[in-house]
Amino acid sequence: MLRTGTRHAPRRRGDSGLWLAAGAVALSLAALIALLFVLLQQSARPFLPAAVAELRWQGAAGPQQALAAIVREDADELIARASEWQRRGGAYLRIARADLLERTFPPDALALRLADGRELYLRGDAHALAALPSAAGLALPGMPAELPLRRGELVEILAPNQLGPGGRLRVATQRAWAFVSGSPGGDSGSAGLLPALVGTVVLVLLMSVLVMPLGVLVALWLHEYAGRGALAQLLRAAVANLAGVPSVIYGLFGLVLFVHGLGAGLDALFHADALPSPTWGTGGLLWSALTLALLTLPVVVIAVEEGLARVPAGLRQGALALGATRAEMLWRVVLPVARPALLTALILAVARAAGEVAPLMLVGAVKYAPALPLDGEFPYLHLSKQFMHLGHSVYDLALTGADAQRDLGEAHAAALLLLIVVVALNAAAIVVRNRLRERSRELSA
Amino acid sequence: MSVPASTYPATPLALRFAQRARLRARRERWARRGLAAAAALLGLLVMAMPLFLLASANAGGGWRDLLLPLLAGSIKAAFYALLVAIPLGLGSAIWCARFAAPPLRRLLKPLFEVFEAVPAVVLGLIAALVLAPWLARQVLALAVFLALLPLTLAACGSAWQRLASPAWRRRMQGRESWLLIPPILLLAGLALQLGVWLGGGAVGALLRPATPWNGLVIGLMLGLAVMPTVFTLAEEALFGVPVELASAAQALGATRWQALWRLVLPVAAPGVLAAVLLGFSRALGETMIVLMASGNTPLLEASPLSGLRSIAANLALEAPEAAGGSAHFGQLLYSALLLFVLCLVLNTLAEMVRARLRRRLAGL
Amino acid sequence: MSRLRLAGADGLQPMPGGLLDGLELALQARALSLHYAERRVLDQISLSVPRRRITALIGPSGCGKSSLLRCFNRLNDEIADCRMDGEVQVLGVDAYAADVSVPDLRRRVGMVFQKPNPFPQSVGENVAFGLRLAGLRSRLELDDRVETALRAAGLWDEVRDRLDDSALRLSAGQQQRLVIARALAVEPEVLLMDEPASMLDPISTLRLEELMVALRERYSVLLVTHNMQQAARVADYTAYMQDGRVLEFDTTDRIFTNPRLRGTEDYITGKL
Repeated sequence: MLRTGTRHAPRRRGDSGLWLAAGAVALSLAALIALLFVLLQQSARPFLPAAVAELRWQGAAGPQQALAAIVREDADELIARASEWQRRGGAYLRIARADLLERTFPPDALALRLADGRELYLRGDAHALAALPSAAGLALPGMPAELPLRRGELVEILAPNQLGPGGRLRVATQRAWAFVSGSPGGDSGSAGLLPALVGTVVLVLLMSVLVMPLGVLVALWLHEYAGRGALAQLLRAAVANLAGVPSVIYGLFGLVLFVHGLGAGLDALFHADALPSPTWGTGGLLWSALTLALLTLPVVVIAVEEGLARVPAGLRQGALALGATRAEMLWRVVLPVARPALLTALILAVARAAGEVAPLMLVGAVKYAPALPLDGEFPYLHLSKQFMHLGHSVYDLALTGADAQRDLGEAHAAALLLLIVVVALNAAAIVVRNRLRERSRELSA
Repeated sequence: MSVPASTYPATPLALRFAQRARLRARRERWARRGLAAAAALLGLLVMAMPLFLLASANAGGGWRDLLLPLLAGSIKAAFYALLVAIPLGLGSAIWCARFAAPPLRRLLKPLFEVFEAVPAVVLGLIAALVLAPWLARQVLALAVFLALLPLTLAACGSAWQRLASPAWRRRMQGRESWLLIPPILLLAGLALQLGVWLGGGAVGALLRPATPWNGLVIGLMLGLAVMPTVFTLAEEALFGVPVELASAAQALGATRWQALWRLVLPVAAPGVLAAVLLGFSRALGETMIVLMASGNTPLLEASPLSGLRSIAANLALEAPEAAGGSAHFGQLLYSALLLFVLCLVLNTLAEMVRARLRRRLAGL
Repeated sequence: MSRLRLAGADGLQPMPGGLLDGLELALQARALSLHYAERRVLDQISLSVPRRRITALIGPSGCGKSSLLRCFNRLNDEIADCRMDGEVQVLGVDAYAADVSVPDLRRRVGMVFQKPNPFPQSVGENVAFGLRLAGLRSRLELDDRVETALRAAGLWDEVRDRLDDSALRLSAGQQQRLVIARALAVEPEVLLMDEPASMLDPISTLRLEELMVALRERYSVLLVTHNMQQAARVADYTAYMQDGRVLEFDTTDRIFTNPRLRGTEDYITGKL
């Protein structure tokens, strides 16, 4: 009886479920890889220099011709961008495949970029153009006479059709760096993530400063003083439940409690002369940080409590047996040993907060804030001001951008940056936590 | 060995302890009070959240016209998300906890944790801008892919059992999931071709979505977002079941799968149920994916090919514009209360069910 | 001043047959019962521990030796669901009276655990831990007292150059003596030792035993041990415990050569 099972092992008829489970893992991994691939591919698009083609097509009023950058093409149609003489995003061409008569890629095609983000496509010699003094006027075939340009107005001169793969990559890297470290330029939507990046970092730092003390204190009370009393169990259950409350509800709570409540009260007290335009009674940096602090409080409490539980009992008893009071034991022995756990809690909270967008839509992040929340002007950190946020920029660029083709690519780039930040933080938390586990094993071994 | 005489008489140290005793006792009292105050503050905040919702929520007359479609939208989104998350998350959990080779498990666990950390706005972006326009033309291909997937997996499995040499089978034991990636990719390619091929006919017309931003897209992406939650909790529950239980069954002639299905899964069932409940709760509350990729049209339709508007997305859209204290704001708060209570009930249920699993495992 | 008074006129009845006549008592338990949740660990224990002697507690595993030890410095207070009845006197004062300061009690009753538990700090900081609690700041006095304690624990010569090293890098035997030095630094009057040698190799054990004998001159030691030879070598008095009760208490010589009870004899000779 026992042996038949093993003898017939090769013919396991009931095992197809096992393969379904294995397939689920494979499919999940494939989905993860596909997501990353799509994100990488999409975010590279706005930075890779597009080929510039001489297009001839059948328009409504007869054949037309233009020099344009190919933005995207599929089986049915082709989207190209012609020279933006008027405004950014205003010169897209949408040509059905059937209407396309001719397409050539002249090697002397130039892509010129202006400081305001507009691009012009002309023909000429890139080196000669680059060598001109900045005051010199440009004279290239195809330029409208009523829109004169000087060399100094150009920020980038490329001959994209002559670039090899290495050159394209170099240009893309330069552009991507300029995008990450640049500021948005006026009404053109966006051309830089720096304010959003700074806004995110400042927000997250402020949130950490708010959440860590309270979270650690609550965890200490729960784990060290409250024991298993009914009150502690109630609070513990509440914290566990708080962790499952949707983030948008925190946003609403922040809106009512901080913006409508505290903020309006502060305005009535201290800024009555500025009313009805609100100073504190509107979404801002401080309210957002407080809301995120509330949101991450359960994360911190749970992680710190877990860390406290890992401190070997022998160390606690050793300290107590020497005559230390409970507070002295906690301060001198337990907290130093649990320091990596505090770090883990902080990183987890930051990772959670950095990726959270929904509550910020209610309490303070905006599409376009001209000033950074942090600057050289007193009081340096502007707590009441609205600010830009990386995650919010992703949402904003994706759904409300003026120049769809560019903004969508930039939305993906912003998303990629956000993803890198959040995943790096989480990876750090995982590494620290694993170290911590090893250490606590060593301490108790 | 001799004990050197102490260089200090015994009293000074004892005296110093005595002098500090009151200070130390006072510090201890203040530490205790401070910590209790922090806990009380947290307790107050916890209480405040449902109370303010209760106090100012006001359905007005808009229950049927406004709130019902939103509630239906939330439930529809979460339901389709679970249809994706349960097979993927649970299947992966079963594989990872019971069958995967230890090195593979050590790789998979953090990988799923990273997956869980991907910000929702990133997934929403891809859902709205890449997945939705693409899927609008490929519903048929997706249907073909999903229909053929279990068959393909099972066929690959039995082919491997029959054709691979025992040495190879042993070498790949616990790593079979890698073997399945090429067939899955092949199947995906095939499905795309079939989709194009069949797409022109009547079936294609039937499966053409009303809008690219629909329940199907939400189901797929929200499902992927929730899947790691389901995975983590279910994996924990399944991994906690003692190995002896399964090996005893296998010794009696059960296959690996039978041992899992008849013995391990029933024992771990409460944990798996908790995983599903928490996944449902997360899907209900998830905002950004639904906001970006659902079209945000308040419809009362169950079809996966039509759009929806969920409570959470509605809050994110309307709350910033609504004036505090207005009837509109009251309605928003009412919808938030609804969402809050739903999530609370689901979380509490999950916690209760998990406590049951813990008791059951402690008994084993 | 400390709320603990020295042994006074309220001393309890001595143990059987005038065994401890004329000796001051360090620790006394009377009708002491202890429950962990519903489980009774100690059952109506009465025991007296003389000053400046080594008293050994022996008995089978789980008989409540360690639990009894922890009653004397109130470490059982830390365990939830732990209930104690009866009376415990430390240096003549009721240790469980309402006005007793627990930290001060624990300072006077030092404890050494089965597993060496140095704090993850430097060797010097470990010894200075208790001194800092007393508010000692002067580097000179701290160094002086640390050296004295380390000398008293017979560790000074081994660690004099490694005072700033992590205490976790010491060997197990050194760690255990470091922990003893840490306890001695705060000038306790009683030392509770809970199987201090059970994790040590024979040479470290030997050194520890020599140390205990040396400590006997100034401290009252209550030693829990599993090792019969150890009890026979170092202890002046020995108590035999079984199932939460002290069955026999006598001089070590008599316990080992001529026990009154069959159970004690069986345990000592390894039959139990």
